[in-house]
Amino acid sequence: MLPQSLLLCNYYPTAPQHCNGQIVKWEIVPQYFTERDYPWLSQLIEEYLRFKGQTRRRVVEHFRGKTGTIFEKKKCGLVFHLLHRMSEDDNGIKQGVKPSKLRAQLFEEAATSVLRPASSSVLSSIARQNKIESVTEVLEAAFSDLPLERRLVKMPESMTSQKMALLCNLSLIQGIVSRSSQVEIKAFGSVRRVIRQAKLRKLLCQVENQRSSDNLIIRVSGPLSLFGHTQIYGRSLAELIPLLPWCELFKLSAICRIRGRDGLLQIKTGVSIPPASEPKQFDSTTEAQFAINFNPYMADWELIREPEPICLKGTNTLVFPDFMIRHRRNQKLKFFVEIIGFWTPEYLSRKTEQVKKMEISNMILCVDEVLICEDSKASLELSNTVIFYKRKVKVADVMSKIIQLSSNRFE
Amino acid sequence: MQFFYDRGTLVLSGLNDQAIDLPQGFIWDSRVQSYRAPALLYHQIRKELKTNQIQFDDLVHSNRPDVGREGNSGKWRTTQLRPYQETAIDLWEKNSCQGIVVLPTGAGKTCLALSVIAKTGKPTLCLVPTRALLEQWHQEIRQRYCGPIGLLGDGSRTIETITVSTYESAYRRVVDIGNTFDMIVVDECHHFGCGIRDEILKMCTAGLRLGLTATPPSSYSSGDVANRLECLIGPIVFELSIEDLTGSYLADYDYYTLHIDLTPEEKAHYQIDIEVYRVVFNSFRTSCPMGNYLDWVRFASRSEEGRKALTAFHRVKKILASAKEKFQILNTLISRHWDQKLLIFTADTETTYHISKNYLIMPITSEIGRKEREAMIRSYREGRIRTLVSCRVLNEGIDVPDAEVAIIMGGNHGTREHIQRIGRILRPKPGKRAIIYELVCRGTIEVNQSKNRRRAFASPITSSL
Repeated sequence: MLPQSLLLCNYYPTAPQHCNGQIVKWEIVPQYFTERDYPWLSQLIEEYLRFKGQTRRRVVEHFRGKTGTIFEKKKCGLVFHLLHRMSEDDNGIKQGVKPSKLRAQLFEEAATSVLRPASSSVLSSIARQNKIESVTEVLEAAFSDLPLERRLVKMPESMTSQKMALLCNLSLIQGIVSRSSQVEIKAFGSVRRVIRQAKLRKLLCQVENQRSSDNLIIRVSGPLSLFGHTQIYGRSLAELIPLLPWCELFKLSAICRIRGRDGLLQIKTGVSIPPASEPKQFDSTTEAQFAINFNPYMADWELIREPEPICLKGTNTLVFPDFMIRHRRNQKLKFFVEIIGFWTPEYLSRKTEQVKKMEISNMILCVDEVLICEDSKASLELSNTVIFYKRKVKVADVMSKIIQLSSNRFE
Repeated sequence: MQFFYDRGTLVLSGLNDQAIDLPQGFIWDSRVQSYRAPALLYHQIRKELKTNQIQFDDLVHSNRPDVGREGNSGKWRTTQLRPYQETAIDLWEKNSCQGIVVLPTGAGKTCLALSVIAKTGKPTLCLVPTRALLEQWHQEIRQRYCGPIGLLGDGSRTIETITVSTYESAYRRVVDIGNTFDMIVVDECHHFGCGIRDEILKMCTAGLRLGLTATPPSSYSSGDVANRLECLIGPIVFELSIEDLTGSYLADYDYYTLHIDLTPEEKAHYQIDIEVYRVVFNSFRTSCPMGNYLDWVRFASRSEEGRKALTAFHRVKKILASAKEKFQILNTLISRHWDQKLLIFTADTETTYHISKNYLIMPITSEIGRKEREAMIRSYREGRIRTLVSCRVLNEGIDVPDAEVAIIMGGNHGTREHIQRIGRILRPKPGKRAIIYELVCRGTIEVNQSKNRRRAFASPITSSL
């Protein structure tokens, strides 16, 4: 089971009954939570938190009459849904007896009763056997593990109206996107993570450069999407949403089917949703070490982590290098560095093939020598842009290769 | 030219500008610059390529998980089938090993399916709707099959030559396992065809498909669903109703409809709410005469009046479920059949717990853990408890042997639910005559609902109090 916090960040769609989105002239307009909702949200959260130690039934009954009067009727269903998910219950054991055990005892003894149907004498007998004081307590204890009878022991006490509004918005959007079969994302900056996650979820990812700007257009879909609307990829697509706030700019468009009607959902930079946990700055310690050791070269060269992807000429393949090293005065002088630490022979040959195909020869591959076999090494040594390393990449080696390559270029 | 399996689809590659007639189903996929078809069409495509004498490499099964390619033959204990089961298998085989067998509950659908799996000897995926049925199928297979059994669902993730999976787990894993099995058995297959989980069947290459149900969608009332089901599994190849088997392979039964009155107070509330509901529902019927329940909910939720009508209808159902006289009659019936195995079916969980607490009867609901439910059904089988009360969990699939009397306090899911419920008590036993009581509130919507249910299997006996 994933930690609750992770669940919240990655996938937390609205249940269909809480899906507050209207289709207006083909466009889906989600009813976002805004600053206007803060007052009733904080009142609701405050009231909800007061129920710590009480049963969920009490909470439900307390708020049943209040929706639509104090709290916004259409929206508070979703807030309850989230608050309930974020709270934790006790194990339901009352009077020191496990409810399931008590039920087995109770109903089996009732079946042997001569009275038709079984009466309070059975309850008294069970109370005596389990040292429970009264007959009513027997019934209470026998059902105290049912979801509504459990007591709330852990509640989201640090929850504020602002945080709740963000979570509700994320939940709303994920709920709508989970009803789509493909999404289109125009993005700039840190798109690598989105593409990687899409690939990990076995989705098809088409990426192209937008001619008028540096934006990438990423179309994410699944193989079956080709044959019509399907929701099988909905969850995977919705899981990409919290990654988008980490892009510098983004705009997502998705055709979603809500209540039997298709509509277009559009969200862009600035939408109030909480981002996923901060992406790791480096994928490995080797990369982190490389960045630290680069300091002596900072006067003339600039090290850029995860630059925008490079499209291989004449192909539809994108390459995502780990670093870009750019000369500070001559910005056109730039080199890409890819550190390959964990690999398979197939991966390595595919990678070198890709590099060979690139007409610009400014991609430097750093390959871990310890892991490589002699045959592969011999073939790679022929390549001008491969550097071997043991445990850590020597920045000096990379820089001398860069200087060598740049002088070749000027010649 | 070659074609291979790719995440629930088939991809054709290596065409090299050859001018050939592509098999039906392939569409150009610009995302990968290849032709693609749904995995469901695998056998049709193969056949077409062979007929057109086109050379091809079939790589569809090259990357599938190893589940014992030698199949499952020789590991099964033989079972004597009933004549109608043998006929059903023959007809299924004649229809290219595709199709749906419709048999009432207790008529041996699982037994039939296991015989088919044994006979074909192919790697098979059995799809079941619930975790309780997952366990039940697992046990049934274990009794007859001596090889390893895979399980997907309820915390298990093993894949073997014979694998049982819940619909939900199969939905999550189908991208990876769509080319693993040659045969699919779909238990309670009436759940498919409405679009929700149909992708499981679309994304599998298995050519042998057997659907099992007691309540197929009728081509009259749900034509689209029936057509889709036919595309995904095959047509209905064999069908028997409860009436066909009553007295021979199913227990004979007496059916009593007990009409009760609402109290004046209940009646007054009922009248107010039903009027609110009727006004909106009638306008829905005018605008959408063939609309189903989902269409009705969509229609109603668009307007304030509609939403009020929905709320009023919920109140109506509550009034009917908790009608005082129903409980008085229930008390009499429980006393009358105190020594017999009794099942009580309710309309909602709240009523289930109410009955449980007041009459000290074990409730079987989704909120009671699976292990406890199984233990209680075992106690029921062994006679340590004689009565169970349930809202929905016992409706479908669960094997509750020896039940003799059913009391139907109310229901929400129409004829299909009713037939499934009655099937629970018709498992045969020497000298058994089952009794069904249906409690209906006079002068309410329950009267028509009851008539429709009865019409579904044309019971010969009607009585009223």
